[in-house]
Amino acid sequence: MKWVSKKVAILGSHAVGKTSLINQFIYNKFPENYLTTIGLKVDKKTVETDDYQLDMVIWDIAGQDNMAKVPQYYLNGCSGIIFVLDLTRPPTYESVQIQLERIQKITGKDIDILVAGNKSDLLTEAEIEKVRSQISVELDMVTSAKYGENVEELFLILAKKLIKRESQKA
Amino acid sequence: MLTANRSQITIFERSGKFVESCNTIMDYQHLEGKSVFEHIPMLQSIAPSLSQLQMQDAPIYLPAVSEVKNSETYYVDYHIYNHPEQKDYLVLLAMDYSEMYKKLIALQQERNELMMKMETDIPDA
Repeated sequence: MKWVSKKVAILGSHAVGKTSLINQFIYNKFPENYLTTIGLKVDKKTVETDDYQLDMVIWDIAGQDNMAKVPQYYLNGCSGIIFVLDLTRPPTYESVQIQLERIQKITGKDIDILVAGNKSDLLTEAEIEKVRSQISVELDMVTSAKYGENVEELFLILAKKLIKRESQKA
Repeated sequence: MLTANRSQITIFERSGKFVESCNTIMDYQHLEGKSVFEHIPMLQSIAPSLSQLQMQDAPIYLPAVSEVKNSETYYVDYHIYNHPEQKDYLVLLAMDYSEMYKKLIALQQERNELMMKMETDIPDA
């Protein structure tokens, strides 16, 4: 089994559930009270997939409404990004396409970016579909950090993309 | 001028091998003879940048990094730079600004909650 380490950043507006997604993925925990993140927190989880042992070093970066304001040095050397939006709050997804372009301007295009719509537990299926139709980009995953729905799947999709890119380099 | 509560200097080889630390904030005694890249995720993820850090380069600056020790959260600013006398060594300087950042978190929290309230208060056009 080959070993590889990749830096992954979680981005999005404030209070969309970035930290909760990470806590659910790494520790299977969901803190009920919202506590804002400042600066960053770095965590690591090792996943095994496609003959690779992948250390995902996850940078939980404080929420920003404008991705152009994310310090470049937070994203240097990043291989993957999960952009999180809150399905219940239009301001967090109305400009998603512009925000993704801003991220790519910082990171360059040689990077895997997934878009996750979080807090699905607060909406019905019909409401989620309505929100999907209002978002200008395709959602890669609809998640509930609270109940752990699709959280592991979200990170594993990114892991597989990172491994695929790595194996193409080899 | 802001003053850090405490600071910690950790020295490691460019290859990642731990050299020494004063262990003021985080206890790195267990890293003796080991690679910091394997045990400190933040350094692991920027290892390629560190190996290319030149003497004339500006230090890598990572502000407000949250660290947990004995269930307590600290907020430190990290500066990573070349050792001024040993070209094969890098220095990780951690400055503990927990007191200031905890006040900032309280303000940021208040601001975020207010903004979310304003989002829901906006009437439909």
